[in-house]
Amino acid sequence: MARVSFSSVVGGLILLTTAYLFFHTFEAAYQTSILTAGRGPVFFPRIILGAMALFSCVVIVEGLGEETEVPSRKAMQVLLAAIGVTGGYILSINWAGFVIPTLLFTLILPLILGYRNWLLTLAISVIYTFAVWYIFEKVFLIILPSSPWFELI
Amino acid sequence: MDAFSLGLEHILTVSVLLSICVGTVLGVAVGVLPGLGSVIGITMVLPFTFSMDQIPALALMLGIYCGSVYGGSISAIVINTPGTPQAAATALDGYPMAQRGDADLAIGWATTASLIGGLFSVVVLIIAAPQLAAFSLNFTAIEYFALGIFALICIANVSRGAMAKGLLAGAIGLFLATIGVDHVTGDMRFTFGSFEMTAGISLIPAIVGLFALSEVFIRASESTKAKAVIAHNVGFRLPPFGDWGPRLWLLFKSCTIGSFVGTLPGTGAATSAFIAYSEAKRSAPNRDKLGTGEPDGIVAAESANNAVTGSAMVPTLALGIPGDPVTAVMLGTFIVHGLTPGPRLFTENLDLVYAVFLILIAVNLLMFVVGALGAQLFTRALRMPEPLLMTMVVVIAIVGAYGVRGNPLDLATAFIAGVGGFILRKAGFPLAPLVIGMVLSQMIENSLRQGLLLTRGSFMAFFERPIALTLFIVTALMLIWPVIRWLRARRTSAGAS
Repeated sequence: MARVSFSSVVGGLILLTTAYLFFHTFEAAYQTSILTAGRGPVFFPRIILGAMALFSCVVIVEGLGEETEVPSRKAMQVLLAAIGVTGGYILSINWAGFVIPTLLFTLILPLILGYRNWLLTLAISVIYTFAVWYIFEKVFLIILPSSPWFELI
Repeated sequence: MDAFSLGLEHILTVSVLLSICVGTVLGVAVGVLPGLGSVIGITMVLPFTFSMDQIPALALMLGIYCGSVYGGSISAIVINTPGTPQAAATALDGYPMAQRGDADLAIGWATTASLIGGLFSVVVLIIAAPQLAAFSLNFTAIEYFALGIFALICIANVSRGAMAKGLLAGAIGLFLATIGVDHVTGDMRFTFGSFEMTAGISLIPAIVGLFALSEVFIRASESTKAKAVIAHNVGFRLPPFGDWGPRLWLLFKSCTIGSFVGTLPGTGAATSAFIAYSEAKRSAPNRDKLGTGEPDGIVAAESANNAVTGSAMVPTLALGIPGDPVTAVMLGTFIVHGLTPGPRLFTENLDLVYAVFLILIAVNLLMFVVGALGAQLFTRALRMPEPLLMTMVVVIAIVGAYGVRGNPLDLATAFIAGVGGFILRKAGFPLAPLVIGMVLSQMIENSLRQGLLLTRGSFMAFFERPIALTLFIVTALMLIWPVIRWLRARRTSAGAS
């Protein structure tokens, strides 16, 4: 029995998404203009989606029988924690502003990645967060999201 | 006042000179740190460029670009870990030289060869870019369509052993850029009723996610593996002048290889360095000693990879077609600052083109000084704990993604691109074709639709124009060649068994 590699799985997911998007192009919303003689808004995307379907089939076939390195349980936990914390950081910036989430994020991510020098992490977290905030807000005048609780940050 | 004098006047300002210095120093530092590289370096300084004028912004980016290509050689020599893929060939002779106790001399060879390679490529850029821009005035929509397809297939094709994945990544990039308003009819595409999606997927947040965030996730997935301990501390020693004599022909050949490869979309500095190294192994005076700490290997690799920097700007400036993700980000910066690279840039903003030439010369000269004075200091950057470095990369990348439009949706785009980029990289997909696909999508689509209008809907008429036909034939050959090679290899192995 052929082994299914990670690249085949990814190729399969892309193929499914491509198939959905291809059928989506036949929805009534896109049949907008007779004047374009069939070369309306989805003319080019249909060509691209066709190519994507073809290439993803090739990727699936190529991946059959390939060996996939399975990450250790610990590595998987670190990865998922890093992705989760980064996602949480990005979400929280929108409602808590830039400074507070960045302070927390710069404390937590090094910990997740296995760094245990608390003093240095704390120092870098405070200095780096405020340095980035100051440089962008005050020097380059790029307005970063601010918190609803403090007027300045 | 002529354009050259204006260009000179542009760069002789405090802000531009400061940008050149900061960009070059940062570029070398980013290059030294393994895994960061030119693209992440450039995405990290992106947010700073938003509030800068055009020329200081470009100076900062060019400094990072050239500095990072050179900086990779320092860690390749000192710890046998190339800071950037471009410096992988340098490690082959640089590290054995360092083990012999001549790390300072190896850095001296690498720095001098990088300077010469970089300056050589600027000369190529100065000569070739205006010629190519003038030639491209003959192009109609059909030629641009053929050129866009050619560039994309080139980039997908160099994904060694993963051509189908490269092509699929390129197609995904083309598709992603179609989301939002159709620029021809004004209709919405693939927005699924979301108002926020009508503006489409912004390129810079996507690049930030694909390269910077995915790199952090890759490091996180490998954080349990043992890392090399950095123990060296080195300086800089200039190679004796007389030692250059027998290596001048090798130097010239390597610079020419680098400059030629640089103009081709998708190939880049890593490819050029290995081609030049292979050529040195075939024909250099000391070819038998290559791989044992022979300066010929360092000279070939470093002059070739730095000779890419200027020539990679040739198609970007002359045609508006980026050759790799670094020049794609630069193209994006040009556009953010209201400039459109292409033939019109050479007629309407010639002073700015000259300013770019002069900045590249200044950056290369400064790179030599920075390398000579700061090699020891930069190796200390290698001691920075990776978790802290990665955290800093995420924060600055997020600011970069947000700073383009101040739109929170761009943060989500960066995050999704980061996770997507991680999955694609883990599955062996190259990301460069995806980014180039996103950049070229609008040009390819518009030129295809305009071309069909010109030919009254006939695809066959696309093949009646000589330049377009040539490009289509070369593109077809590039697609067919790997299949032929695979069939031949299969036949050979079947015959052997």
